[in-house]
Amino acid sequence: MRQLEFKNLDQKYYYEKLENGLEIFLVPYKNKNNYAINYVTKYGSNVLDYKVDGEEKKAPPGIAHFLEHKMFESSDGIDPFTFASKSGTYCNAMTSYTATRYLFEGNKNFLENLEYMINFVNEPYFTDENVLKEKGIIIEEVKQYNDDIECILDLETRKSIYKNHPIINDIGGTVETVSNITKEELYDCYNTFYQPSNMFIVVTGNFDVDECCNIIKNNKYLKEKNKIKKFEVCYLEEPDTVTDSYVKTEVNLVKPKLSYNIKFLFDKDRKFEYSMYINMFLSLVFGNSSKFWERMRNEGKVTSFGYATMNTDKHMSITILAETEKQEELIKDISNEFKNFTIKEEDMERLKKVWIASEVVMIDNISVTLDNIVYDVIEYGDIIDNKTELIRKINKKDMDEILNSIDFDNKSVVVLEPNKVN
Amino acid sequence: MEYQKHDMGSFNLHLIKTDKFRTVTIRVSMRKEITEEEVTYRNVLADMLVYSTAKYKTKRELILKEQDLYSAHVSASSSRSGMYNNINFTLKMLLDKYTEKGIEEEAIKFFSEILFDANVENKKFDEKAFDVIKKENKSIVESYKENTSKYSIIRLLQNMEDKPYKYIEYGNMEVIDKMTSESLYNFYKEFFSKSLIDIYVLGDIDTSKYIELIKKYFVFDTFKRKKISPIIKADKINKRIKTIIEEDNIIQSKLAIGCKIDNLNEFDRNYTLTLYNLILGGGSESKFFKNIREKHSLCYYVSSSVRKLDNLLIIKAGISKENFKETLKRIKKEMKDMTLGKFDDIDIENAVNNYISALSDILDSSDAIIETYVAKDLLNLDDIETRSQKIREVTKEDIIRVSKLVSMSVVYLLEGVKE
Repeated sequence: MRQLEFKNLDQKYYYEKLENGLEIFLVPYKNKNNYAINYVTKYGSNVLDYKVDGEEKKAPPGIAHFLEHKMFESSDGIDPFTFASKSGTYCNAMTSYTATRYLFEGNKNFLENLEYMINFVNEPYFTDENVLKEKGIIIEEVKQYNDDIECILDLETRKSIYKNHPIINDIGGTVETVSNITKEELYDCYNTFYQPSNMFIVVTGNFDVDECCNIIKNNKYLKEKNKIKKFEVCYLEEPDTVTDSYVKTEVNLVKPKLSYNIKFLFDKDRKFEYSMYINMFLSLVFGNSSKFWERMRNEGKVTSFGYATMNTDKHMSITILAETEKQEELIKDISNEFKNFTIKEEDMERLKKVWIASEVVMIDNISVTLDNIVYDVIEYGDIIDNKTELIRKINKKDMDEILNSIDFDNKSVVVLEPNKVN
Repeated sequence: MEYQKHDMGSFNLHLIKTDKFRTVTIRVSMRKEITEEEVTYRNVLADMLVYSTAKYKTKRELILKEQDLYSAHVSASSSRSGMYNNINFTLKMLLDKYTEKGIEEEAIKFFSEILFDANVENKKFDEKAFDVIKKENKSIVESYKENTSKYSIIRLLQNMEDKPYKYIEYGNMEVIDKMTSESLYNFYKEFFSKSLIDIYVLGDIDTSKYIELIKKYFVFDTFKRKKISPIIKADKINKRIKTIIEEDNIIQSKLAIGCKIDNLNEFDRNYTLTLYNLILGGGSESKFFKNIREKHSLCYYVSSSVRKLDNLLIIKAGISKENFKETLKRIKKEMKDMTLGKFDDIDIENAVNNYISALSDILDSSDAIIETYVAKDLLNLDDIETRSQKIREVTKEDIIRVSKLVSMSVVYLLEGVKE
């Protein structure tokens, strides 16, 4: 166990990588009641085609999420929800594009719960019967998202930007793909991606570091699973240009919504830096302290406004989101803003102060700290414990360099309008 | 944690000293007996006051000032608690030791300007600012139908009794259309002079210093209001269940069921009812989750929640329309089973553990800690220590007795007709 620290935040953490490849990140807090555990696999909905043991495999959209649901099945009838309940511990799981996370949060029985969690994630139990039963539940979940306007906008946005990358699929898949999943496919994915070398554990809050380590290192499954299976995730060639520059579709909504998106390549060796600069750019030009947003609100052009970013292994994209009744005008305004923005150094300095303050607030919260660590490891390959220093280093020269490398004309627009009344 | 309560004349000041957080939270909580029209006014006023002030005349300027204060942030929220309309204003800031000497006081001064030094001229809110806020609130009122789950609950409540829980939380179109910057200003004056006001301060504070700061910056021109009971009187149980089905162009149907709860005493309201709800439909160990979702795959979500102050239990589920009758039948069965005592000691134990765990969660959140003091005044709720003991006094008989006080009143289905 190595002891390290989050720079300038007065908080230590511990790290170790086991022989089987499993990484462990522990952040003990002195003055908290609760603990939070995440057991994570770097396997999410973005993995569809892959090669393992020389064999090519194709997995259907929605399988990582289905697998997550099925992990809660147990052969002895005591599922994780039931076990966690015994000590009043909160239990849940979630699948994203890039990871699947299993979560326990509570204030009792830490060691017992940690042991149990490692066990249940290492005990897959899929039968034709329990797979069939789950289909009904997941299909309802998928239908719920299919009605959700934000989900619809998000799906259309991804499809307009990306062409071949699996990110164009919804995480849960579709009713059709879910209906056809077999237990064999589930076992294939489980055996390839749920191996220790592809996984990590994060614990934050009130717990003892040494006792925690002992539980993990002495776990029977982790001791057994010492072979590392090499696999390769396959992606089809993804064009640098957007897929569809303008998409308009009718949806069951009241107020029109739109997304305005820019796609670009990023330097893989500077991914965190890129994300910092892009986020600062978006905050200054389109954020709530920006002149653009003020103008849009004053002119009544938007009733709701925001932005987000996304990335794949090769590309990043910026998304501007708005609720508006003046769609075409707003699109022009955004386009002009991307052409004519200016970034002032004094604004950058002010935002750096805000971000550093935000790092202090976040480290105070065990759930947020845990989420941030998981995000860092998935997106950047490692915990980033010197964010305050990296933020301080942000400068106009690098900002200009990165912004100059982006073609703001490589854009797609998605407009959702109300169903026309016949 | 050290708690002090001070009577400041026009409001009560609650100081909660703890070294658990790097932030200081100050909440100004204002409550007034509800009227339907004021629901819309309270929403708009909350947004209006944090949009601009006399000194920072645009939202942008306000935000730049907050950023200068190391991200100190003032937010406003409006809601209903039983018979009360509430507006809460909250300041969250880092302790001076993490920023710079004097920032705490400057942030508090900034906070007081938001409340007392509004962007007002000639007894009206600034027209430009008002226009923006009015338009945005109108948009919210116009589009609440987009969230089909919330919409189904609204439609359900509209088909129940004529009580404040019927008032649509987003506001009313007619009221907002007629609203002017002058009428909003009048409501602002009225609300600030007639509300029940409490100020909560939580953090690693010097209590005597903060008493002085609050005295200096928070001067309310109001008499301290007498408390009214927030609890909405229980309705008469209806003999027949009313069923309403409406169609919408969506895929998944939304089921919302309203149940009346009759004759609760204080212990039952604060303890027994909570366990009843947890066992019935309040989580992954509940009867709803285990039997209706897991066993019969009828839905992705099916849950129940208690509205203590409204004497209501609300059940909601997302289903395929073909499963409506079956789901409803199973929900009724689970409720009947509760009255027949068809639940085990292990169910009660799980629910108690769940409850105690939630109590422990409170201690790690500054907002949740403040809520416990609010609940103490509003509901006569006991402190955390007492609650963790009293919950264990609930017996199976108590739960059966309370289950018989719950009866289904209205079933609402928003039927999805989209292919």
